Amino acid sequence: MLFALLFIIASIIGLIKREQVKIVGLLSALASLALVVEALSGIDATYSILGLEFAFMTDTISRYFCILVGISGLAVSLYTAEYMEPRHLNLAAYSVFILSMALIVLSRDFLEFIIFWELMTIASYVLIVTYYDNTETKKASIIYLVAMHAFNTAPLLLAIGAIYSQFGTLDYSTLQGVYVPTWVIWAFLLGFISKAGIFPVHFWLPEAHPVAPSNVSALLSGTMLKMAIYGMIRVVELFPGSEAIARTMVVLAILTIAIGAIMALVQKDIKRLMAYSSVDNMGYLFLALGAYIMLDRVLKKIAFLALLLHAFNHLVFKNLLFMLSGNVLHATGRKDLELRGLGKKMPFTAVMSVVGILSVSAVPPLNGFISKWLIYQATFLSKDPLLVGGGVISLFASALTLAAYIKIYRIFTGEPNVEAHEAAPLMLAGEAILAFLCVVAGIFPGIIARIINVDVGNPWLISIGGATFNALLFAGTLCSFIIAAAIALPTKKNLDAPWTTGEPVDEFEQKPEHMFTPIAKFGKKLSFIGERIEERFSSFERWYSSKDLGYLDEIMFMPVIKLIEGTSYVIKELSKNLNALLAVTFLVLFTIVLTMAVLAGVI
Amino acid sequence: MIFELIALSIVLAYVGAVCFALDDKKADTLMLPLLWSSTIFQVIAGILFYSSPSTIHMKLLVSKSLGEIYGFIIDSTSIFTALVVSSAGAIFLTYAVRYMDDKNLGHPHRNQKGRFYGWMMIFLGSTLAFIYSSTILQMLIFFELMSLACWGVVGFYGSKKSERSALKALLIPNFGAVVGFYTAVAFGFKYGDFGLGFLGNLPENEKLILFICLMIAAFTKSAQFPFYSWIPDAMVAPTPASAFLHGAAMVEMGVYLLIRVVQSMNPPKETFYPMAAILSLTMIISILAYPKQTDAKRLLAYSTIAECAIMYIGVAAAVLGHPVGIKIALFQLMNHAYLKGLAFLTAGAFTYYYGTLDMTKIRGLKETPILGYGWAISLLGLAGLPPFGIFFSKLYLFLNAGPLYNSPLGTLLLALVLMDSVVLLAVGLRSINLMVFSEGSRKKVDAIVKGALVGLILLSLVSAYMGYFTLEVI
Repeated sequence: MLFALLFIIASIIGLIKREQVKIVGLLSALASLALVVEALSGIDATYSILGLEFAFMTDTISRYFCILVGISGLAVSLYTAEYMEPRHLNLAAYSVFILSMALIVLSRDFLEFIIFWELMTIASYVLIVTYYDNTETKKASIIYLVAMHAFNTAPLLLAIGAIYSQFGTLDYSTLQGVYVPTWVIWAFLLGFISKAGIFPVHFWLPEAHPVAPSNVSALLSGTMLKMAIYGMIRVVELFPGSEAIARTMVVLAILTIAIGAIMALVQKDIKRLMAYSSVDNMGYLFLALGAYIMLDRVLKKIAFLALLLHAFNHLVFKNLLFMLSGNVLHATGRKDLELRGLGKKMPFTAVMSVVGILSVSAVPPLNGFISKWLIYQATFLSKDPLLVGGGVISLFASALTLAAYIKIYRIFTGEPNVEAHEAAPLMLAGEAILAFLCVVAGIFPGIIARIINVDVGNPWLISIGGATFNALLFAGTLCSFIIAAAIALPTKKNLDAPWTTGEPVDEFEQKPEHMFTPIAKFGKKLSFIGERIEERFSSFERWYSSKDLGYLDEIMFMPVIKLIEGTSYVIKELSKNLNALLAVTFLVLFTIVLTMAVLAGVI
Repeated sequence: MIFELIALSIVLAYVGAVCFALDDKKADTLMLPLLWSSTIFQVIAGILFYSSPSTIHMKLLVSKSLGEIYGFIIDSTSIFTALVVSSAGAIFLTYAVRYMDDKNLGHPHRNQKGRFYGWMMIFLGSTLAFIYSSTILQMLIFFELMSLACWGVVGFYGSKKSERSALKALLIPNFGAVVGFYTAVAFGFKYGDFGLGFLGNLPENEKLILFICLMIAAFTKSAQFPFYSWIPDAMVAPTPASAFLHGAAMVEMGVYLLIRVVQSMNPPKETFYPMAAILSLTMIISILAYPKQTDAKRLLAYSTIAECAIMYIGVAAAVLGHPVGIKIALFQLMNHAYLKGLAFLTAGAFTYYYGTLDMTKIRGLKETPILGYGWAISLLGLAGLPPFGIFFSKLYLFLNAGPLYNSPLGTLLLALVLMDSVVLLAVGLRSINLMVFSEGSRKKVDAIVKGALVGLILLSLVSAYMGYFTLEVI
């Protein structure tokens, strides 16, 4: 486990020497490379450190996710070496973040899983608050960590605790195939959809991902969300009975796809747009996972391949896109969509943006197409109306995604309106690795499929047809390509000059918020709902702060104490007048004797 | 050898009462060696014990008609708790050397160290003697001595508010002691034996009555519902005293009392229900109170109440018959002591350097890294985030709450634990955003304060591991 050692060294260096970004970045890149190499050859290690035993092993799924973490770690760490601004503990947290993700995947029992999972969450929090001077960062960090603690840690703790209490072990191999109570699987579902950003626990994602530094956003969107998918796959593989959650998972996934795509369209901020697009893509992943649970035979394998392939593809292109947005932010200081003409000064960034945008919009021959195509296959060819509906919505959402990313591409065209410069070579190197992988995985998806040992024949053959030709799917895809081309390609230019009486003419350019208005109206309605919920919440908080809670126990015993105080005051006053005191004493004594006589039955 | 070391450490703590008559400088020179030698003897005794663990029961005073009256029980429970109390006490009292001087912005002290150290050393000695007690009568005596020391420090500053709070802090646990211990001593007279062992020999209905009474005693001591209000008011005590009494030692002695009772008595399982009901209400009170606090120490006081409730959940699991319930409680006790101590000592630094504990007024802790990290780590650690200790003890609770998952009241308790940590996290993050991530001026923090805070941060990182080894958890 050389990679773990390298990560630990990097984080210790980050802790002691807070300014050494380059060293920590390069060490992390080296460690990620070591992770990929070791994962490909398989890891099987048990360590006994100071009396505590840790076992790490790769099986098919964990090997695949290790490679994913390693690839993104390599690319983003190269980028980080030039990009990240060291602040408080974020340099140490960076290496710990990637290491904890790798160890989550390599754990062999739920105890290690939850420990490294929580370490990953706190490391991500430290990284998110890098720019703590910003009010949005402070607000986003609270929303993120509290939402995670409430909807992710709590259900996972309850579920894992219940498993241990019932079976006395947390080891995966021992728990394979045991029947757990259904609520445990629901708890796992809630925990993992919160981490993945699925509706209704998606609200933290568009807040947290934009405020983080771009390399961290890349890791959060690209890699950390995949840990949720890994956890869900692990639970589905271990415990029978996941059919109970499959339909709910699919419904939530479909809602997420729709909401993510529509909301992405109305954003004015590049990183927020990409965050919503991540929400959308996680919806795809959970749709594929739901299809995997619900289907069988060939379609089940297709859904599984689609799930894992899309995890890889989204990781690669989302990391790439966030890093490119970091290039733009680094060069211009802005991340809104009003930028123009960056393509002139930032050619490499522009080219790689094209690769990234085409990948995320699922345009062949890039990698996004093949995984989305497989998802469409799995959903359309199933006989289940829910899944087919999901497939239709995901097709529509793909078109919306392309539309949204066209808005981003526009920042590279036209005349420049800001000063810009190309990014540093190390930053470009990290991005180039991922762009290269986008192209390679698009043309040769079989390489990835071979790592997972899923045999569906040639993915391309399935798509071309033979026995699985589906008219609806073919027509739908053809239509979406035609629409995409119609949107993307420039319209015929009006070459006639406008006639003015000699006054200067402003070049007319459509503002991003006025593009795609029919759909954008839906987006505005959705964000309005979100704002209303937030408003209700803050008014409740205000009402609650104004209420004054007394001390409950004082309410109980203060009356008694006040009574005693009052009595002693009366007696004190009485004692000032000797006659009154003697009279009262005589009366009290007489009453006592009388009462005792009554009680003794004399009278 | 172990017994002699422990007895010596208790005696040394009591010798510290001489400080009442000394002035500042002499009090410092007397208290520090006494304190640290007491702690070191305790640590050596602990190491000797763990190298060859075996229970030692020394009967020091035995009478023919009443059985054992005074003795020491040295077993893994008492050594563990005594180590936590000693180590925490040593750090907090060393911190007090700096805190109780006249450069304290919020409470400039002139020549009051002697009085303070006197009360605190009496408290330390009484707590250690309480922990090692082997009879009910002995527990009663040192329980009340602890309450007396609490009265002394809570009323330390002499204002009307302090006097009222001190009276509350004395009378409410005293009421509990009367209900619990006097009943127990009465039973002891009836059966002619005061030793803890006789608790196990009672008939079932008497066990029920006695357990409920002793539970009331423990709950008043630990400020559980409905006797909780004395702790937020007791925050008028000087901060090292709050850290020790209300963070690491005194309220946890309620838990210790109930642990000893459960260990000796094997109470009937029906006692789980009143216990769980009270604990649920306690956690609800804490959850409701967190968002309203603007005073740093009061927020920590409510957090102490909730964390003690978590320790009691372990004891409740033990009542249901779970073998590791006691370990859950002790593990949480150790992890909580250091994190709560860190929180209180950082709050003390607020008083010392900023002159106020009002969380809405303190700004710019990031300029003074030790204070910024101390406050952030203590709040995040108390909410249960790794790598700090309370995450591991809560994880241990959830993994081992076996019988609680099957009863609705138990599941409610577990859900409330989670809700409590979420609300505390939200309030803590809001406070971190306001206080740490804001603009302010840098304060020059003195070496003793810095050393205490750094030491506690390190201890909170390793406390989970130390607890694992000494208790063989997981």
